[in-house]
Amino acid sequence: MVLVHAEGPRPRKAAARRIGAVVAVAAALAACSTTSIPTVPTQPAVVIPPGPPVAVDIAALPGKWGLASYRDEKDRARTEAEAKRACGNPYVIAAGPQGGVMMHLPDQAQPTEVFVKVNGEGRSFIGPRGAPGMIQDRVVMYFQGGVLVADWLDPSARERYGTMLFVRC
Amino acid sequence: MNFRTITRMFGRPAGFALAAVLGLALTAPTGVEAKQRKELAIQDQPGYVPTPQEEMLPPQYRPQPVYFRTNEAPGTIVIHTDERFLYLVQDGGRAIRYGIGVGRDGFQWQGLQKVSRKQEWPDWRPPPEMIQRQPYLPRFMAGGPGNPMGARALYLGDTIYRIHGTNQPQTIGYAVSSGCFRLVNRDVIDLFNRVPVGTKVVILQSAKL
Repeated sequence: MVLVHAEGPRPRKAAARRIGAVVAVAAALAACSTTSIPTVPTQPAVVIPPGPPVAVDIAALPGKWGLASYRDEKDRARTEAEAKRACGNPYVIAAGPQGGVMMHLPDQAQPTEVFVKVNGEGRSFIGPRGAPGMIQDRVVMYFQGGVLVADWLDPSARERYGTMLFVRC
Repeated sequence: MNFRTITRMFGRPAGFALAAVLGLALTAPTGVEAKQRKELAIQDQPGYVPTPQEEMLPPQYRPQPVYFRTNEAPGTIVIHTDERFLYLVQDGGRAIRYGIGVGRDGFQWQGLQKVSRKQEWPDWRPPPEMIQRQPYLPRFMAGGPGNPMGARALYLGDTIYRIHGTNQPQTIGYAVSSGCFRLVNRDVIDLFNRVPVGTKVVILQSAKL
């Protein structure tokens, strides 16, 4: 007992080395024997929330906006008032170098150039270059009188941040 | 076994006593544990909705009846910052004890307040330093599941501090906030339903050398 205890660390290291070797060989064999085609991680399907067609003039976007969010329609009027109050710490949209505007994608600390994209139903999306309705896009639900309401298409971002409401400062 | 089950099994007074004994015998935190639970480096997670499993606290932080020696009248809330417990004083030298998260070092305080307002699903405003790090965050988030303020808030006097819920159950027992006291949503709803506006709140903090 005492001897085993005293010599404990060395056998454990040796055993760990042996186990490591076995795992490596097993992994190599598994890699050799596999016949499945490598899979590409699938992105969640994009669900576009229902809403009316909304036209957005991208030239109207640059500037300072009060930004607030809500989840329940009953909170919208209150949220709009709070967004106006938030003009003291505004969200700033700058014009982009390629004709778009600089806005943040979900959870990105740095802004990306985004564009207004319109689908066949007349729905407007704000997002990076590409087809309208990509997962990085926001779908515009309302744009009138200096108020922009947009939902993230990324379900995780939508769940976490709710519906984003911008009020022109 | 929660308090309701115990009182259902043994009747209210006996259940209270038994649960208190069990609570005291089985769930009193040790000094070592309190030290381990000192501070937790974690950012707010706006919009995160915890699972019921995540909301299952370690036994000592679940609401439970305990014996509690105090001169405060029944109905008073006594917060022991260092213990990470909030006590709602009951008759007969007893209290209901809730596990809480408290202010980080430098954000802890003591005093005497009253519940000045109660709010279901309170709104949340991310602090400016958080907006600086995450400029895409809304400056105001209307209350709802996933809101860092949780399901209920009890406003303390005219201070900026509140007793509120949280969407981060893992922070209970830690010094993590900017001076507010947080409970998991289920517990803050329970407390909210037990106390009226005007409730006396005593915030205690042990002297440190």
